[in-house]
Amino acid sequence: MVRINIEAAWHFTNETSPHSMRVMLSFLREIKLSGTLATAAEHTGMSYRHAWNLIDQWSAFFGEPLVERQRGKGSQLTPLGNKLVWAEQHLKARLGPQLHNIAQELEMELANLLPDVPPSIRIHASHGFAISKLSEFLAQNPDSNIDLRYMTNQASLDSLRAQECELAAIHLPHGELRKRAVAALKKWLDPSVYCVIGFVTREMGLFVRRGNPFDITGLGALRDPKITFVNRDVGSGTRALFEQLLAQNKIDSGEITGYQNVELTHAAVAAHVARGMADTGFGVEAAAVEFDLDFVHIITEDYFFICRAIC
Amino acid sequence: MLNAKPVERLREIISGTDYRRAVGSLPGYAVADAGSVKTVQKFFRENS
Repeated sequence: MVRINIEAAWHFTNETSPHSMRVMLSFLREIKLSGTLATAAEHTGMSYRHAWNLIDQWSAFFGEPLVERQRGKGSQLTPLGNKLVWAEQHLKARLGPQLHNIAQELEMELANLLPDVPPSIRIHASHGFAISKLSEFLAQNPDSNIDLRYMTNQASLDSLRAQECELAAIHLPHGELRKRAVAALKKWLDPSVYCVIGFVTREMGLFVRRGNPFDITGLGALRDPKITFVNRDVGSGTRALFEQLLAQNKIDSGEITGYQNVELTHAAVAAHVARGMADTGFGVEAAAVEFDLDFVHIITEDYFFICRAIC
Repeated sequence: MLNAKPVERLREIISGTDYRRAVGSLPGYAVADAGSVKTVQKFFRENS
């Protein structure tokens, strides 16, 4: 199988010439992670000298340093360097699922023109960390030809019914909301046509900045007009779950500051909060940890695959 | 479709040690019954 990976490339320009920012961003990310210039240079395959030249070149471009070197303490990013790394992570979180879908579409088009391509199955699933990890595992497997597209819970069920995919993924909350979600699902799943494949369980909650500066302990805190929220997109399973949780807690969405502001993935919501663009958002715990945020647990969800099959 | 090779491979991967370890290392994720198959009737019965 020919695999395609599409990434966004950054191009910064000034009055004199265009500059590609891509190499520098991966290097800055490594400095942030390792805290030493030598390790970051080694991980990105650069000589120490070239690494310093690169930093000097880009610091001159911005007219501001990107990295601070402290004697005996290694190297750390300046606020500008940190901002660039956050911006790149935010961009990846926002565009990742869409770029993945475009790459999959191209892979399938190419596969139709190439010899000896194994038969494929189509999976339509909402984006998350476990499904993304599965995509990585599948990509390492030369025998698997799986066309995995990211879409909302509801859209994947629509696809399954329309026979536009063989597997759809759904997530269902634990607790009181479970029964209501299953009742709704009964309208969609004919027991004689489908079966259920277990996948993962995930913890969902509110993302807050380190130290929880607003002392948010639950959804009730969102009534405070000083606390700004970033939502998920309409139609996403996580948005639907959040709306059900608000109804369960008798919270009117009109009371929540920023309710109309949306991001498309868990990671993008976390990046939004990490950049200080909102005080809190709702999503999976893994996204909070990835963006160095604290997490206030609200609910647990199970994630399943629905397969067209006779069990 | 459940017995199709790609679906069998998918189930092997998600129930395998490597995938379980990888997902288990993600904060807030668990993979207790990944790969197990249930009829929709049983699923509805257990969750209603």
